[in-house]
Amino acid sequence: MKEKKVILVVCGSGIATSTAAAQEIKEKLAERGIYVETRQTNVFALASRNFEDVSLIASTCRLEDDYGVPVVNVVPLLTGINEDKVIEEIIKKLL
Amino acid sequence: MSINEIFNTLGSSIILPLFIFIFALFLRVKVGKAFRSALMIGIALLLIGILVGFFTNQITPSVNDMVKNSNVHLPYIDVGWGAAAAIAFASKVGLLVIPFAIGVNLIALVLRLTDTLNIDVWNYWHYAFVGALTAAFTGSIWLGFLAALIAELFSLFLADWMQPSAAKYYGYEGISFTTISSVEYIPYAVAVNWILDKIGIGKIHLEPKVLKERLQFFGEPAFIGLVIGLAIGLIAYWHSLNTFQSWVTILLDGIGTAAFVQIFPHIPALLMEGLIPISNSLKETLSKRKSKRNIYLGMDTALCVGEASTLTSSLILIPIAIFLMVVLPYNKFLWIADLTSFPWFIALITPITQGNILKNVIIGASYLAIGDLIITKLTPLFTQAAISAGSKLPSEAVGIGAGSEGISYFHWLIYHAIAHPLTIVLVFLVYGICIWALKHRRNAMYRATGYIVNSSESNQL
Repeated sequence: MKEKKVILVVCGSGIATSTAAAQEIKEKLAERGIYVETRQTNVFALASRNFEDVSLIASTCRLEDDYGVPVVNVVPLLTGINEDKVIEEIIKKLL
Repeated sequence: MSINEIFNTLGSSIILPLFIFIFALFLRVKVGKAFRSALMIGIALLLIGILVGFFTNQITPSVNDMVKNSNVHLPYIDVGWGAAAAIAFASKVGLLVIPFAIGVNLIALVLRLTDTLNIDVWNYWHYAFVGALTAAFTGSIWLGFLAALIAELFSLFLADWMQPSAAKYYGYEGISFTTISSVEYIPYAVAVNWILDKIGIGKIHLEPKVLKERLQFFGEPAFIGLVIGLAIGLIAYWHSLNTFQSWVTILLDGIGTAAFVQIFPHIPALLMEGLIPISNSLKETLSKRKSKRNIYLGMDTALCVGEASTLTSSLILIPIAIFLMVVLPYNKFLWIADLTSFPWFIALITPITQGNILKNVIIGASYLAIGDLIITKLTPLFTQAAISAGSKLPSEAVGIGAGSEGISYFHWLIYHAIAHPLTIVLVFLVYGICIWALKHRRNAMYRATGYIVNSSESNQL
């Protein structure tokens, strides 16, 4: 069995907003036949984390540092405006 | 058995899931999804009660000994905003706050009192929390709803006022920020920022990059928990450090506090998960009705938290808050879990100061000195509300509170205003003036929040 790719979902608390975003990402990707695993964290914890386990960072915050993995801003998934564009971007950077 | 008795016997971890299940079905969420939502919410409420109980049982004896054996008189324990969210949703106001707040928002939109549609259903708990505590304070559910209404109207006004500045600074077009624990500090920040500019402090700039790297370890909840837990134990048993028992307690306080602070914030994520199908269903229904009018979507300030200036200012405030809680003679509140919540406190101050860290810290620290007074006054009420929401506290526990919610002058003013018809009228008068000012003194209002109004725009406004 092929291993699922992991997306790290980041928000201010690693709790509320990122839960909503993670759910959206999983559902929207599943509709297109792509199954991923999501993990959540907050912006504070990014500095002390390594990113070997993740293929992509999906953030609801503006991230300014370079983490060595592609970063996608996923705020549109929360507002519902331009959702498809973000999903396309995730797919492009993930594969 | 009366309805009230049934309510109290079953407890919020049964009643709220039932309500959510029915409400979700009503919004045409599929049965399986609705059931899962309800289950998650029940689990979250139960776990919040258990964890708060575990933590207060561990730390209370040491806190009591600390108060007895030293000059550190801080008997009110900070259990964090998760407990406040549980109290809010578990209260009788909380059950109905979602339909209520949406109704109020839609009416306010139609009456042109606001341009914001608050789709951040999760943070409705802040409205419910004001309502729940007011209901506990006054004994009237109706006054609880009136309090929630006032909180919502002001949060929508503040979101509108701040919109151009925050959207420009953080780069989010068409979004306004409605989270009460962020927007309520806008007026204070505008006033202090004006004073700081007058005395020339605005010219000093600190570079966030270096500071951020040095301070990052303060942002790790487990670390803060460990240090504070050990400190409480050490101060409490300073005079008996030669006994093995003292050291066992000190070390258990350290690891216990670290465990609580690390794991507790994950429980509200379950509450959130339970609410997602409801909030998605509402979002779809609401956005279908969007008119031609330019409406901002109200979101959580969590979107702003990663920005360097906001993050750095919040990290600097952590040691300052610890210093203030010890030296301020009137303070009884022991900051623990919500020390890491400062980004929400600072998020909308940053655009006002245009990212000036020194100004942010001065505004933040000076407000915390006031906030410590407010939270010392409000914690007994919070404790009472937590017990009625199902937290099992040790009998000798003096008080529990949530730092980020407790320092709110907003809550404090609302509870007091609501006690008298005359002050209620006054509150709506102030609200009227706010709305008038935003309509007729628009440029000056925007400029105060750090927004630069350019000439071509000001012609249109």
